[in-house]
Amino acid sequence: MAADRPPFEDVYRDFLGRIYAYVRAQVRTSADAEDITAQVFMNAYQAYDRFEPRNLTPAAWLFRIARNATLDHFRASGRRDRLQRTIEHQPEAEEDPATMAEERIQYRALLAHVAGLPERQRNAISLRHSGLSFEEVGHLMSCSEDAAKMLYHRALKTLRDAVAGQEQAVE
Amino acid sequence: MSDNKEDLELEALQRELDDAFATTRPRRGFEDELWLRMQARRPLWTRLREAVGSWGALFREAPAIPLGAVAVLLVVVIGASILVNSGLRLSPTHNSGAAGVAQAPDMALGAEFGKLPTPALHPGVYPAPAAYGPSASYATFEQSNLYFGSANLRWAGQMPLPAQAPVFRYTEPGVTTADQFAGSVGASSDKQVRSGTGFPATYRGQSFTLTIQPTEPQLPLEPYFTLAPSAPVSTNGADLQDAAATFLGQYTLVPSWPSSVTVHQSGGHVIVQYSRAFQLPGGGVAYLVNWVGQRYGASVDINDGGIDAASGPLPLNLEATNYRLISNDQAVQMALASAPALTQSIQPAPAVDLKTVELVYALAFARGQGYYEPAYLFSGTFQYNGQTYTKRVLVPLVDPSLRS
Repeated sequence: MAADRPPFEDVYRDFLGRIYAYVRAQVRTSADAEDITAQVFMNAYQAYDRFEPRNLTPAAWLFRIARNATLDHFRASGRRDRLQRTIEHQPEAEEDPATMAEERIQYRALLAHVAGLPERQRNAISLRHSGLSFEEVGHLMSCSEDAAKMLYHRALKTLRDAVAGQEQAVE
Repeated sequence: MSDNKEDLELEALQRELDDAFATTRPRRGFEDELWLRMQARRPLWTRLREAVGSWGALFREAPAIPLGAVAVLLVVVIGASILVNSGLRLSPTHNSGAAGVAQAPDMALGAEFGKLPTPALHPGVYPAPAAYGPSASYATFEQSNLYFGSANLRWAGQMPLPAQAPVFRYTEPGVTTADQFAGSVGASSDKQVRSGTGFPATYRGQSFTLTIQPTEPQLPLEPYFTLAPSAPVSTNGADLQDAAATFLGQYTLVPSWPSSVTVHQSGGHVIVQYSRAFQLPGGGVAYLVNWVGQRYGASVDINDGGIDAASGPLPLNLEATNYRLISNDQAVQMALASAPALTQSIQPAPAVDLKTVELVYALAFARGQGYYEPAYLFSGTFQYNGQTYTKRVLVPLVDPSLRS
Protein backbone atom coordinates (compact mmCIF):
# COMPACT_ATOMS: atom_id res chain seq x y z
CA MET A 1 0.00 0.00 0.00
CA ALA A 2 1.27 3.46 -0.82
CA ALA A 3 2.57 5.32 2.23
CA ASP A 4 0.26 8.28 1.70
CA ARG A 5 -2.88 6.22 1.21
CA PRO A 6 -4.92 5.98 4.41
CA PRO A 7 -6.26 2.57 5.47
CA PHE A 8 -9.52 1.83 3.73
CA GLU A 9 -11.24 1.36 7.08
CA ASP A 10 -10.53 5.02 7.88
CA VAL A 11 -11.90 6.17 4.54
CA TYR A 12 -14.94 4.00 5.04
CA ARG A 13 -15.74 5.38 8.47
CA ASP A 14 -15.02 8.97 7.48
CA PHE A 15 -17.12 8.97 4.35
CA LEU A 16 -19.96 6.49 4.79
CA GLY A 17 -22.31 9.10 6.25
CA ARG A 18 -21.47 11.76 3.69
CA ILE A 19 -21.82 9.41 0.75
CA TYR A 20 -25.13 8.12 2.11
CA ALA A 21 -26.44 11.68 2.52
CA TYR A 22 -25.37 12.55 -1.02
CA VAL A 23 -27.07 9.47 -2.44
CA ARG A 24 -30.16 9.90 -0.25
CA ALA A 25 -30.67 13.37 -1.71
CA GLN A 26 -30.84 11.82 -5.18
CA VAL A 27 -33.23 8.91 -4.74
CA ARG A 28 -36.76 8.37 -3.49
CA THR A 29 -36.29 5.74 -0.82
CA SER A 30 -33.82 4.85 1.88
CA ALA A 31 -33.67 1.29 0.50
CA ASP A 32 -32.36 2.62 -2.80
CA ALA A 33 -29.93 4.87 -0.94
CA GLU A 34 -28.59 1.90 1.03
CA ASP A 35 -28.23 -0.24 -2.09
CA ILE A 36 -26.34 2.45 -3.96
CA THR A 37 -24.17 3.33 -0.97
CA ALA A 38 -23.29 -0.35 -0.58
CA GLN A 39 -22.38 -0.56 -4.25
CA VAL A 40 -20.24 2.57 -3.95
CA PHE A 41 -18.15 1.15 -1.12
CA MET A 42 -17.96 -2.33 -2.63
CA ASN A 43 -16.59 -0.75 -5.81
CA ALA A 44 -14.29 1.53 -3.87
CA TYR A 45 -12.96 -1.36 -1.80
CA GLN A 46 -12.17 -3.38 -4.91
CA ALA A 47 -10.45 -0.44 -6.58
CA TYR A 48 -8.65 0.98 -3.56
CA ASP A 49 -5.30 -0.56 -4.47
CA ARG A 50 -5.38 1.48 -7.67
CA PHE A 51 -6.45 4.73 -6.02
CA GLU A 52 -3.72 7.36 -6.32
CA PRO A 53 -4.08 10.03 -3.60
CA ARG A 54 -1.49 12.18 -5.35
CA ASN A 55 -3.94 12.78 -8.20
CA LEU A 56 -7.24 12.93 -6.37
CA THR A 57 -8.52 13.41 -2.85
CA PRO A 58 -10.37 10.45 -1.32
CA ALA A 59 -13.50 12.65 -1.26
CA ALA A 60 -13.36 13.43 -4.98
CA TRP A 61 -12.61 9.79 -5.78
CA LEU A 62 -15.47 8.43 -3.67
CA PHE A 63 -18.01 10.99 -4.83
CA ARG A 64 -17.12 10.20 -8.45
CA ILE A 65 -17.90 6.55 -7.79
CA ALA A 66 -21.08 7.58 -5.97
CA ARG A 67 -22.22 9.81 -8.80
CA ASN A 68 -21.64 7.06 -11.37
CA ALA A 69 -23.43 4.51 -9.21
CA THR A 70 -26.39 6.85 -8.80
CA LEU A 71 -26.56 7.50 -12.54
CA ASP A 72 -26.41 3.74 -13.13
CA HIS A 73 -29.28 3.31 -10.71
CA PHE A 74 -31.42 5.82 -12.58
CA ARG A 75 -30.57 4.28 -15.93
CA ALA A 76 -31.41 0.80 -14.72
CA SER A 77 -34.52 1.66 -12.77
CA GLY A 78 -36.01 4.37 -14.98
CA ARG A 79 -37.04 2.19 -17.85
CA ARG A 80 -38.12 -0.65 -15.56
CA ASP A 81 -40.28 1.63 -13.42
CA ARG A 82 -41.86 3.33 -16.40
CA LEU A 83 -42.66 0.00 -17.98
CA GLN A 84 -44.07 -1.36 -14.73
CA ARG A 85 -46.24 1.70 -14.16
CA THR A 86 -47.48 1.59 -17.74
CA ILE A 87 -48.53 -1.99 -17.34
CA GLU A 88 -49.98 -1.79 -13.90
CA HIS A 89 -51.03 1.90 -13.86
CA GLN A 90 -49.30 2.23 -10.53
CA PRO A 91 -48.11 5.48 -8.98
CA GLU A 92 -44.46 5.91 -8.04
CA ALA A 93 -43.29 3.88 -5.06
CA GLU A 94 -43.68 5.54 -1.69
CA GLU A 95 -41.42 5.10 1.28
CA ASP A 96 -42.64 2.65 3.87
CA PRO A 97 -43.69 4.65 7.03
CA ALA A 98 -41.85 2.20 9.30
CA THR A 99 -38.65 2.72 7.35
CA MET A 100 -39.15 6.47 7.44
CA ALA A 101 -39.35 6.32 11.20
CA GLU A 102 -36.09 4.37 11.37
CA GLU A 103 -34.22 6.69 9.06
CA ARG A 104 -32.18 9.50 10.53
CA ILE A 105 -33.28 12.48 8.47
CA GLN A 106 -34.26 15.79 10.05
CA TYR A 107 -34.79 17.71 6.85
CA ARG A 108 -36.82 15.20 4.86
CA ALA A 109 -38.92 17.79 3.03
CA LEU A 110 -35.90 19.83 2.00
CA LEU A 111 -34.09 16.76 0.68
CA ALA A 112 -37.22 15.77 -1.21
CA HIS A 113 -37.07 19.15 -2.94
CA VAL A 114 -33.39 18.58 -3.75
CA ALA A 115 -34.29 15.19 -5.21
CA GLY A 116 -36.83 16.92 -7.45
CA LEU A 117 -34.27 19.21 -9.08
CA PRO A 118 -32.93 18.53 -12.60
CA GLU A 119 -30.04 16.07 -12.51
CA ARG A 120 -27.15 18.53 -12.84
CA GLN A 121 -28.61 21.05 -10.42
CA ARG A 122 -29.32 18.27 -7.95
CA ASN A 123 -25.76 17.09 -8.18
CA ALA A 124 -24.29 20.56 -7.83
CA ILE A 125 -26.26 21.14 -4.62
CA SER A 126 -25.61 17.68 -3.23
CA LEU A 127 -21.90 17.60 -3.97
CA ARG A 128 -21.32 21.11 -2.67
CA HIS A 129 -23.17 20.50 0.60
CA SER A 130 -21.41 17.18 1.00
CA GLY A 131 -18.28 19.24 1.56
CA LEU A 132 -16.67 19.36 -1.86
CA SER A 133 -15.02 22.50 -3.18
CA PHE A 134 -16.37 24.11 -6.34
CA GLU A 135 -13.22 22.95 -8.09
CA GLU A 136 -14.00 19.35 -7.13
CA VAL A 137 -17.66 19.77 -8.06
CA GLY A 138 -16.63 21.09 -11.47
CA HIS A 139 -14.15 18.26 -11.94
CA LEU A 140 -16.81 15.67 -11.13
CA MET A 141 -19.37 17.28 -13.38
CA SER A 142 -16.94 17.82 -16.26
CA CYS A 143 -17.12 21.59 -16.17
CA SER A 144 -14.99 24.49 -14.93
CA GLU A 145 -14.97 25.77 -11.38
CA ASP A 146 -16.80 28.93 -12.50
CA ALA A 147 -19.41 26.90 -14.36
CA ALA A 148 -19.92 24.79 -11.25
CA LYS A 149 -20.48 27.95 -9.18
CA MET A 150 -23.04 29.25 -11.67
CA LEU A 151 -24.79 25.92 -11.81
CA TYR A 152 -24.89 25.75 -8.03
CA HIS A 153 -26.35 29.24 -7.64
CA ARG A 154 -28.93 28.57 -10.31
CA ALA A 155 -29.84 25.35 -8.50
CA LEU A 156 -30.07 27.20 -5.20
CA LYS A 157 -32.57 29.68 -6.65
CA THR A 158 -34.60 26.89 -8.22
CA LEU A 159 -34.65 25.12 -4.88
CA ARG A 160 -35.69 28.26 -3.02
CA ASP A 161 -38.56 28.78 -5.48
CA ALA A 162 -39.66 25.17 -5.10
CA VAL A 163 -39.65 25.40 -1.31
CA ALA A 164 -41.48 28.73 -1.38
CA GLY A 165 -44.01 27.34 -3.84
CA GLN A 166 -44.86 24.49 -1.53
CA GLU A 167 -45.11 26.73 1.53
CA GLN A 168 -47.58 28.97 -0.32
CA ALA A 169 -49.58 25.93 -1.39
CA VAL A 170 -49.80 24.77 2.23
CA GLU A 171 -50.94 28.21 3.38
CA MET B 1 -37.60 41.03 -4.32
CA SER B 2 -34.65 43.18 -3.27
CA ASP B 3 -31.15 41.82 -3.77
CA ASN B 4 -30.48 42.07 -0.05
CA LYS B 5 -33.56 40.09 0.88
CA GLU B 6 -32.80 37.49 -1.78
CA ASP B 7 -29.22 37.12 -0.53
CA LEU B 8 -30.45 36.59 3.01
CA GLU B 9 -32.94 33.98 1.87
CA LEU B 10 -30.31 32.10 -0.10
CA GLU B 11 -27.87 32.19 2.81
CA ALA B 12 -30.53 30.79 5.11
CA LEU B 13 -31.25 28.06 2.60
CA GLN B 14 -27.54 27.23 2.38
CA ARG B 15 -27.35 26.87 6.14
CA GLU B 16 -30.37 24.59 6.09
CA LEU B 17 -28.77 22.51 3.36
CA ASP B 18 -25.55 22.27 5.35
CA ASP B 19 -27.54 21.00 8.30
CA ALA B 20 -29.61 18.65 6.14
CA PHE B 21 -26.58 16.97 4.61
CA ALA B 22 -24.68 16.91 7.91
CA THR B 23 -27.51 15.21 9.77
CA THR B 24 -28.72 12.75 7.14
CA ARG B 25 -27.23 9.40 8.02
CA PRO B 26 -28.11 5.76 7.35
CA ARG B 27 -30.07 3.80 9.90
CA ARG B 28 -28.21 2.43 12.88
CA GLY B 29 -26.48 -0.85 12.14
CA PHE B 30 -26.05 -0.21 8.45
CA GLU B 31 -22.39 0.72 8.83
CA ASP B 32 -21.52 -2.60 10.48
CA GLU B 33 -23.68 -4.65 8.11
CA LEU B 34 -22.07 -3.15 5.05
CA TRP B 35 -18.60 -3.54 6.45
CA LEU B 36 -19.22 -7.23 7.02
CA ARG B 37 -20.60 -7.68 3.52
CA MET B 38 -17.47 -6.07 2.11
CA GLN B 39 -15.24 -8.30 4.19
CA ALA B 40 -17.14 -11.40 3.13
CA ARG B 41 -16.56 -10.62 -0.55
CA ARG B 42 -12.78 -10.52 -0.29
CA PRO B 43 -10.81 -13.58 -1.38
CA LEU B 44 -10.49 -16.12 1.41
CA TRP B 45 -6.69 -16.15 1.49
CA THR B 46 -6.62 -12.38 1.94
CA ARG B 47 -8.96 -12.54 4.88
CA LEU B 48 -7.04 -15.34 6.53
CA ARG B 49 -3.74 -13.52 6.07
CA GLU B 50 -5.13 -10.31 7.49
CA ALA B 51 -6.88 -12.09 10.34
CA VAL B 52 -3.62 -13.70 11.40
CA GLY B 53 -1.66 -10.49 10.87
CA SER B 54 -4.07 -8.30 12.78
CA TRP B 55 -4.73 -10.70 15.65
CA GLY B 56 -2.21 -9.00 17.91
CA ALA B 57 -3.14 -5.52 16.84
CA LEU B 58 -6.74 -6.25 17.68
CA PHE B 59 -5.83 -6.37 21.35
CA ARG B 60 -3.20 -3.64 21.29
CA GLU B 61 -5.30 -0.77 20.05
CA ALA B 62 -8.85 0.38 19.64
CA PRO B 63 -10.47 -1.63 16.84
CA ALA B 64 -11.08 0.12 13.54
CA ILE B 65 -14.47 -1.57 13.40
CA PRO B 66 -16.88 -2.54 16.14
CA LEU B 67 -15.92 -5.64 18.14
CA GLY B 68 -19.26 -7.24 17.31
CA ALA B 69 -18.46 -6.97 13.63
CA VAL B 70 -15.01 -8.45 14.19
CA ALA B 71 -16.48 -11.36 16.10
CA VAL B 72 -18.94 -12.19 13.32
CA LEU B 73 -16.18 -11.85 10.74
CA LEU B 74 -13.95 -14.25 12.64
CA VAL B 75 -16.76 -16.78 12.80
CA VAL B 76 -17.19 -16.49 9.04
CA VAL B 77 -13.46 -16.77 8.34
CA ILE B 78 -12.91 -19.68 10.69
CA GLY B 79 -16.00 -21.45 9.37
CA ALA B 80 -14.80 -21.03 5.81
CA SER B 81 -11.30 -22.28 6.60
CA ILE B 82 -12.75 -25.39 8.25
CA LEU B 83 -14.73 -26.09 5.11
CA VAL B 84 -11.69 -25.65 2.88
CA ASN B 85 -9.43 -27.78 5.04
CA SER B 86 -11.99 -30.53 5.37
CA GLY B 87 -12.16 -30.89 1.61
CA LEU B 88 -15.90 -30.38 1.67
CA ARG B 89 -17.34 -28.74 -1.42
CA LEU B 90 -20.67 -27.03 -1.49
CA SER B 91 -22.41 -26.33 -4.75
CA PRO B 92 -22.53 -22.65 -5.69
CA THR B 93 -26.30 -22.74 -5.38
CA HIS B 94 -26.24 -24.12 -1.86
CA ASN B 95 -28.14 -21.69 0.32
CA SER B 96 -29.26 -23.48 3.40
CA GLY B 97 -27.84 -23.47 6.88
CA ALA B 98 -26.31 -20.59 8.81
CA ALA B 99 -25.54 -17.45 6.87
CA GLY B 100 -21.78 -17.73 7.29
CA VAL B 101 -21.62 -21.29 5.97
CA ALA B 102 -23.97 -20.59 3.10
CA GLN B 103 -21.70 -17.82 1.91
CA ALA B 104 -18.61 -19.99 1.86
CA PRO B 105 -18.74 -21.04 -1.80
CA ASP B 106 -19.12 -17.47 -2.98
CA MET B 107 -16.35 -16.33 -0.71
CA ALA B 108 -14.06 -19.02 -2.06
CA LEU B 109 -14.81 -17.87 -5.60
CA GLY B 110 -14.56 -14.21 -4.80
CA ALA B 111 -17.86 -13.37 -6.49
CA GLU B 112 -21.50 -14.12 -6.02
CA PHE B 113 -22.53 -15.44 -9.45
CA GLY B 114 -20.44 -18.60 -9.05
CA LYS B 115 -18.19 -19.84 -11.84
CA LEU B 116 -18.79 -18.00 -15.07
CA PRO B 117 -19.01 -19.32 -18.61
CA THR B 118 -16.22 -18.07 -20.84
CA PRO B 119 -17.00 -15.54 -23.56
CA ALA B 120 -15.28 -16.16 -26.89
CA LEU B 121 -15.37 -15.16 -30.52
CA HIS B 122 -17.47 -17.55 -32.59
CA PRO B 123 -16.89 -16.57 -36.21
CA GLY B 124 -17.65 -20.11 -37.38
CA VAL B 125 -21.26 -19.80 -36.24
CA TYR B 126 -21.81 -16.83 -38.48
CA PRO B 127 -23.90 -15.99 -40.49
CA ALA B 128 -26.58 -15.64 -37.87
CA PRO B 129 -30.16 -16.45 -38.72
CA ALA B 130 -31.78 -13.58 -40.57
CA ALA B 131 -34.31 -13.16 -37.78
CA TYR B 132 -31.82 -11.35 -35.56
CA GLY B 133 -32.45 -8.04 -37.15
CA PRO B 134 -30.41 -5.16 -38.39
CA SER B 135 -27.52 -5.54 -35.97
CA ALA B 136 -26.59 -8.84 -37.53
CA SER B 137 -26.92 -7.26 -40.95
CA TYR B 138 -24.48 -4.60 -39.91
CA ALA B 139 -21.97 -7.27 -38.93
CA THR B 140 -21.99 -8.53 -42.51
CA PHE B 141 -20.92 -5.08 -43.69
CA GLU B 142 -17.86 -5.14 -41.53
CA GLN B 143 -16.66 -8.68 -41.23
CA SER B 144 -15.39 -9.41 -44.75
CA ASN B 145 -11.77 -8.63 -43.91
CA LEU B 146 -11.67 -10.14 -40.47
CA TYR B 147 -9.30 -13.05 -40.03
CA PHE B 148 -9.74 -15.63 -37.27
CA GLY B 149 -7.24 -18.30 -38.37
CA SER B 150 -3.85 -19.08 -36.88
CA ALA B 151 -1.19 -16.37 -36.83
CA ASN B 152 2.14 -15.64 -35.25
CA LEU B 153 1.19 -12.95 -32.81
CA ARG B 154 3.31 -10.27 -31.24
CA TRP B 155 2.23 -7.51 -28.86
CA ALA B 156 3.31 -4.09 -30.11
CA GLY B 157 0.89 -1.75 -28.38
CA GLN B 158 0.35 -0.02 -25.08
CA MET B 159 -1.97 -1.43 -22.46
CA PRO B 160 -4.62 0.82 -20.91
CA LEU B 161 -4.70 1.44 -17.19
CA PRO B 162 -6.44 -1.43 -15.44
CA ALA B 163 -10.07 -0.55 -14.82
CA GLN B 164 -12.66 -1.97 -12.54
CA ALA B 165 -15.29 -3.72 -14.61
CA PRO B 166 -18.10 -5.69 -12.96
CA VAL B 167 -19.87 -8.68 -14.44
CA PHE B 168 -23.54 -8.14 -15.30
CA ARG B 169 -26.07 -10.94 -15.38
CA TYR B 170 -29.58 -11.35 -16.73
CA THR B 171 -31.95 -14.25 -16.30
CA GLU B 172 -33.54 -15.60 -19.45
CA PRO B 173 -36.97 -13.96 -19.60
CA GLY B 174 -40.20 -15.86 -19.74
CA VAL B 175 -43.32 -15.25 -21.75
CA THR B 176 -44.64 -12.83 -19.13
CA THR B 177 -41.69 -10.50 -19.63
CA ALA B 178 -42.11 -10.68 -23.38
CA ASP B 179 -45.83 -9.96 -23.07
CA GLN B 180 -45.15 -7.00 -20.80
CA PHE B 181 -42.63 -5.57 -23.20
CA ALA B 182 -45.03 -6.03 -26.11
CA GLY B 183 -47.70 -4.25 -24.08
CA SER B 184 -45.38 -1.34 -23.41
CA VAL B 185 -44.98 -0.69 -27.14
CA GLY B 186 -48.69 -1.11 -27.83
CA ALA B 187 -48.67 -4.63 -29.19
CA SER B 188 -50.30 -6.76 -26.56
CA SER B 189 -53.00 -8.30 -28.72
CA ASP B 190 -53.03 -11.13 -31.27
CA LYS B 191 -49.94 -12.80 -29.91
CA GLN B 192 -48.85 -15.68 -32.13
CA VAL B 193 -46.65 -18.12 -30.31
CA ARG B 194 -44.54 -20.09 -32.70
CA SER B 195 -43.21 -22.74 -30.40
CA GLY B 196 -44.28 -24.73 -27.39
CA THR B 197 -42.01 -22.74 -25.08
CA GLY B 198 -43.61 -19.44 -25.93
CA PHE B 199 -40.63 -18.22 -27.95
CA PRO B 200 -40.09 -16.84 -30.48
CA ALA B 201 -43.31 -14.86 -30.28
CA THR B 202 -44.91 -12.46 -32.72
CA TYR B 203 -47.28 -9.70 -31.66
CA ARG B 204 -49.34 -7.38 -33.78
CA GLY B 205 -49.78 -3.71 -33.01
CA GLN B 206 -51.40 -0.93 -34.94
CA SER B 207 -49.50 -0.91 -38.26
CA PHE B 208 -46.54 -2.92 -37.05
CA THR B 209 -45.39 -6.39 -36.11
CA LEU B 210 -43.22 -7.13 -33.11
CA THR B 211 -41.10 -10.26 -32.87
CA ILE B 212 -39.30 -11.30 -29.69
CA GLN B 213 -36.50 -13.84 -29.83
CA PRO B 214 -35.03 -15.72 -26.87
CA THR B 215 -31.29 -15.90 -26.22
CA GLU B 216 -29.42 -17.58 -29.06
CA PRO B 217 -26.81 -19.47 -26.97
CA GLN B 218 -24.48 -20.50 -29.80
CA LEU B 219 -23.53 -16.98 -30.84
CA PRO B 220 -24.47 -15.97 -28.12
CA LEU B 221 -27.02 -13.20 -28.54
CA GLU B 222 -29.30 -11.88 -25.83
CA PRO B 223 -33.11 -11.81 -26.19
CA TYR B 224 -33.97 -9.44 -28.99
CA PHE B 225 -36.98 -7.64 -30.32
CA THR B 226 -37.58 -6.64 -33.92
CA LEU B 227 -40.29 -4.12 -34.67
CA ALA B 228 -41.31 -3.92 -38.33
CA PRO B 229 -43.88 -1.40 -39.57
CA SER B 230 -46.53 -2.76 -41.94
CA ALA B 231 -45.26 -0.33 -44.58
CA PRO B 232 -41.92 1.54 -44.62
CA VAL B 233 -42.10 4.79 -42.66
CA SER B 234 -40.74 7.62 -44.78
CA THR B 235 -37.94 9.69 -43.30
CA ASN B 236 -39.18 12.65 -45.37
CA GLY B 237 -35.65 13.65 -46.15
CA ALA B 238 -34.83 14.22 -42.47
CA ASP B 239 -31.42 13.56 -41.03
CA LEU B 240 -31.29 9.77 -40.79
CA GLN B 241 -30.06 9.72 -37.22
CA ASP B 242 -32.88 12.06 -36.17
CA ALA B 243 -35.42 10.01 -38.12
CA ALA B 244 -34.26 6.83 -36.39
CA ALA B 245 -34.48 8.46 -32.96
CA THR B 246 -37.97 9.77 -33.71
CA PHE B 247 -39.10 6.33 -34.84
CA LEU B 248 -37.71 4.63 -31.73
CA GLY B 249 -39.17 7.38 -29.54
CA GLN B 250 -42.69 6.68 -30.84
CA TYR B 251 -42.46 3.27 -29.19
CA THR B 252 -40.36 4.38 -26.19
CA LEU B 253 -37.56 2.22 -27.56
CA VAL B 254 -34.73 4.79 -27.42
CA PRO B 255 -31.98 2.93 -25.54
CA SER B 256 -31.73 3.75 -21.86
CA TRP B 257 -28.21 2.32 -21.63
CA PRO B 258 -25.07 4.28 -22.59
CA SER B 259 -24.53 4.16 -26.34
CA SER B 260 -22.85 5.82 -29.27
CA VAL B 261 -24.73 6.32 -32.52
CA THR B 262 -23.22 5.68 -35.93
CA VAL B 263 -24.72 5.61 -39.42
CA HIS B 264 -23.62 2.93 -41.89
CA GLN B 265 -24.57 3.08 -45.54
CA SER B 266 -24.29 0.54 -48.31
CA GLY B 267 -26.10 1.63 -51.47
CA GLY B 268 -29.67 2.47 -50.54
CA HIS B 269 -29.47 0.51 -47.30
CA VAL B 270 -28.69 2.50 -44.17
CA ILE B 271 -28.32 1.22 -40.64
CA VAL B 272 -28.42 3.63 -37.72
CA GLN B 273 -26.58 1.78 -35.02
CA TYR B 274 -26.79 2.38 -31.25
CA SER B 275 -23.72 0.58 -29.95
CA ARG B 276 -24.37 -0.58 -26.43
CA ALA B 277 -21.93 0.23 -23.64
CA PHE B 278 -21.67 -0.46 -19.94
CA GLN B 279 -20.80 2.24 -17.46
CA LEU B 280 -17.59 1.52 -15.56
CA PRO B 281 -17.54 2.28 -11.83
CA GLY B 282 -14.42 4.43 -12.16
CA GLY B 283 -15.87 6.45 -15.04
CA GLY B 284 -15.98 5.85 -18.76
CA VAL B 285 -17.72 3.05 -20.60
CA ALA B 286 -16.85 -0.26 -22.27
CA TYR B 287 -18.71 -1.33 -25.41
CA LEU B 288 -20.45 -4.62 -25.93
CA VAL B 289 -19.07 -6.70 -28.81
CA ASN B 290 -20.61 -9.65 -30.59
CA TRP B 291 -19.29 -13.01 -31.74
CA VAL B 292 -16.86 -11.45 -34.22
CA GLY B 293 -15.74 -8.63 -31.93
CA GLN B 294 -18.06 -6.07 -33.52
CA ARG B 295 -19.90 -3.48 -31.43
CA TYR B 296 -23.64 -3.91 -31.45
CA GLY B 297 -26.81 -2.89 -29.69
CA ALA B 298 -30.02 -1.48 -31.09
CA SER B 299 -30.41 -0.42 -34.69
CA VAL B 300 -32.81 0.99 -37.20
CA ASP B 301 -32.93 -0.25 -40.79
CA ILE B 302 -33.65 2.27 -43.51
CA ASN B 303 -34.07 1.19 -47.13
CA ASP B 304 -34.43 3.75 -49.90
CA GLY B 305 -35.56 6.45 -47.48
CA GLY B 306 -38.08 4.32 -45.60
CA ILE B 307 -37.68 2.83 -42.11
CA ASP B 308 -38.58 -0.82 -42.32
CA ALA B 309 -37.32 -2.29 -39.04
CA ALA B 310 -35.88 -1.52 -35.64
CA SER B 311 -34.32 -4.03 -33.35
CA GLY B 312 -32.50 -4.20 -30.08
CA PRO B 313 -32.03 -6.15 -26.88
CA LEU B 314 -35.12 -6.81 -24.81
CA PRO B 315 -34.91 -4.57 -21.72
CA LEU B 316 -34.00 -6.88 -18.85
CA ASN B 317 -32.98 -6.36 -15.26
CA LEU B 318 -29.23 -6.70 -14.80
CA GLU B 319 -27.51 -7.72 -11.60
CA ALA B 320 -23.89 -6.69 -11.16
CA THR B 321 -21.04 -8.05 -9.12
CA ASN B 322 -17.27 -7.84 -9.09
CA TYR B 323 -14.89 -10.64 -9.94
CA ARG B 324 -11.15 -10.84 -9.57
CA LEU B 325 -9.63 -9.80 -12.90
CA ILE B 326 -6.33 -10.84 -14.39
CA SER B 327 -3.47 -8.36 -14.74
CA ASN B 328 -2.54 -6.62 -17.98
CA ASP B 329 0.61 -8.75 -18.25
CA GLN B 330 -1.45 -11.92 -17.95
CA ALA B 331 -3.89 -10.62 -20.56
CA VAL B 332 -1.09 -10.01 -23.05
CA GLN B 333 0.35 -13.46 -22.43
CA MET B 334 -3.07 -15.03 -22.94
CA ALA B 335 -3.61 -13.05 -26.15
CA LEU B 336 -0.29 -14.19 -27.60
CA ALA B 337 -0.92 -17.81 -26.63
CA SER B 338 -4.56 -17.84 -27.76
CA ALA B 339 -5.84 -20.57 -30.04
CA PRO B 340 -7.33 -19.41 -33.35
CA ALA B 341 -11.11 -19.03 -33.33
CA LEU B 342 -11.29 -20.69 -36.76
CA THR B 343 -9.36 -23.65 -38.11
CA GLN B 344 -9.30 -22.31 -41.69
CA SER B 345 -6.01 -20.46 -41.89
CA ILE B 346 -3.68 -18.81 -44.33
CA GLN B 347 -0.54 -20.88 -44.88
CA PRO B 348 2.04 -20.11 -43.79
CA ALA B 349 0.49 -18.42 -40.79
CA PRO B 350 0.86 -14.65 -41.12
CA ALA B 351 2.83 -12.58 -38.63
CA VAL B 352 0.56 -10.09 -36.92
CA ASP B 353 1.52 -7.26 -34.62
CA LEU B 354 -1.36 -6.70 -32.20
CA LYS B 355 -1.23 -2.95 -31.79
CA THR B 356 -4.50 -1.95 -30.22
CA VAL B 357 -6.50 -3.17 -27.27
CA GLU B 358 -9.89 -2.10 -25.97
CA LEU B 359 -11.76 -2.97 -22.80
CA VAL B 360 -15.06 -4.43 -23.99
CA TYR B 361 -17.92 -6.55 -22.75
CA ALA B 362 -18.80 -9.90 -24.33
CA LEU B 363 -21.77 -12.11 -23.63
CA ALA B 364 -21.56 -15.71 -22.45
CA PHE B 365 -24.60 -17.83 -21.68
CA ALA B 366 -25.05 -20.81 -19.36
CA ARG B 367 -27.67 -22.38 -17.13
CA GLY B 368 -30.44 -20.05 -18.27
CA GLN B 369 -28.49 -16.90 -17.55
CA GLY B 370 -26.55 -14.48 -19.69
CA TYR B 371 -23.36 -12.89 -18.40
CA TYR B 372 -21.86 -9.69 -19.77
CA GLU B 373 -18.20 -10.13 -18.93
CA PRO B 374 -15.28 -7.73 -19.27
CA ALA B 375 -12.64 -8.68 -21.82
CA TYR B 376 -9.79 -7.16 -23.74
CA LEU B 377 -10.22 -7.12 -27.51
CA PHE B 378 -6.78 -7.09 -29.11
CA SER B 379 -6.43 -6.35 -32.80
CA GLY B 380 -3.78 -5.95 -35.46
CA THR B 381 -3.69 -5.89 -39.24
CA PHE B 382 -1.63 -7.67 -41.89
CA GLN B 383 -1.42 -7.78 -45.66
CA TYR B 384 -2.23 -10.86 -47.73
CA ASN B 385 -2.60 -10.94 -51.51
CA GLY B 386 -2.85 -7.18 -51.61
CA GLN B 387 -5.65 -7.07 -49.06
CA THR B 388 -5.54 -5.75 -45.51
CA TYR B 389 -6.93 -8.17 -42.96
CA THR B 390 -7.69 -7.60 -39.29
CA LYS B 391 -6.91 -10.20 -36.68
CA ARG B 392 -8.89 -10.01 -33.45
CA VAL B 393 -8.27 -11.80 -30.19
CA LEU B 394 -10.68 -11.70 -27.27
CA VAL B 395 -9.21 -12.28 -23.81
CA PRO B 396 -11.74 -12.65 -20.96
CA LEU B 397 -10.59 -10.67 -17.93
CA VAL B 398 -12.24 -12.67 -15.18
CA ASP B 399 -9.62 -14.80 -13.47
CA PRO B 400 -9.60 -18.25 -15.15
CA SER B 401 -10.02 -19.96 -11.78
CA LEU B 402 -13.41 -18.26 -11.50
CA ARG B 403 -14.59 -19.50 -14.88
CA SER B 404 -16.02 -22.89 -15.68
